[in-house]
Amino acid sequence: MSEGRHPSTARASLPDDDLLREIFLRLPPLPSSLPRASLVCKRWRRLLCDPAFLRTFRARHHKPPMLGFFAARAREPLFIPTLSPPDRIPPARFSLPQRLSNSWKFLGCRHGFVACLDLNRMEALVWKPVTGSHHHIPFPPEFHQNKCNYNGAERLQVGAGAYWF
Amino acid sequence: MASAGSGDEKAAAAAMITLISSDNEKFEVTEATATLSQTIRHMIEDGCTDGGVPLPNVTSKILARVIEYCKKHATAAAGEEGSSSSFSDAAFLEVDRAFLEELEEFDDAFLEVDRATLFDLILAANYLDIKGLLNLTCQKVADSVKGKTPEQIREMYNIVNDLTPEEEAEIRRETQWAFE
Repeated sequence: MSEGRHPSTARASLPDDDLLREIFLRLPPLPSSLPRASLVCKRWRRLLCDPAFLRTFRARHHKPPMLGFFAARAREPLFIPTLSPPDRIPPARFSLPQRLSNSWKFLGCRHGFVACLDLNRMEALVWKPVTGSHHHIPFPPEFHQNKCNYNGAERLQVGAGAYWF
Repeated sequence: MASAGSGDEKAAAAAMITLISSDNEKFEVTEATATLSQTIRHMIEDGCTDGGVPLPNVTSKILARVIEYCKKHATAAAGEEGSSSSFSDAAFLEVDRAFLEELEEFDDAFLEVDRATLFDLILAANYLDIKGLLNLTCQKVADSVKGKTPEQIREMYNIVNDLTPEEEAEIRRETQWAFE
């Protein structure tokens, strides 16, 4: 164009934080989108790390992407990523915070939570891989007497939330 | 009565609004075109449009593009409304799809501008409160960033990296996989 490159690049910076947020809200809801943009400069980082912005981003995109799934392996559940790079999360990122005993059972995943039973320690482990938070729930007495089937993953539906990077 | 209806339409078509750019250029547009802008719609409702609507934040070059967008989208909206009474459902859906395809093609061509113009269009869409245009132009910028590395984004938008090495290392450490 006759204006040339120089005037374009000199002005090609949005002055208004509100408008920059409008643009950021339209970034694709993939794991690498926000980390990459937040490494551009301090201003972008400040806007992208703002909890209010992240809430709006989550609300706008409704359903988070499926990052992968967990498969039961000998020692612990193994994360199998399903997205391509740069959105491919390495399995090590989602490794259990604590080793399970030799006798364990994988119950399943719901809404970003993983549930396992540790049969030696007689407790259930509920783990949120994305944040690393986990809770141990001792079996109630009925479980000790083998009177119940373990079907705890269904319980994870209650109160569970989705997570975005 | 049919004659009264067509009379109303003529009256509506005749309602023209004058928009005045920052460089004092005047643009005559129909009310249907102008009211795609919520800002102008409110001015019309408040009866503040006699003698023209001054838009001190919008140059004639950008205003001409904005009007082009509004004309197309106002025509499409009017076409959809008009067709609903005279077509069967199936034919209406067909017309509807054709409208949408045509609008999409128009939007794609409309966005073929340099970055400075694109940003000026975003500012104008925001100031004039034209939701469709704001969405379209912001999405275009977001799409341009998609899949790019931070270095590529900085180069595209002439942004200086003012993060300290420590800050940069912290972000990279937390989400190393996103940069591979």
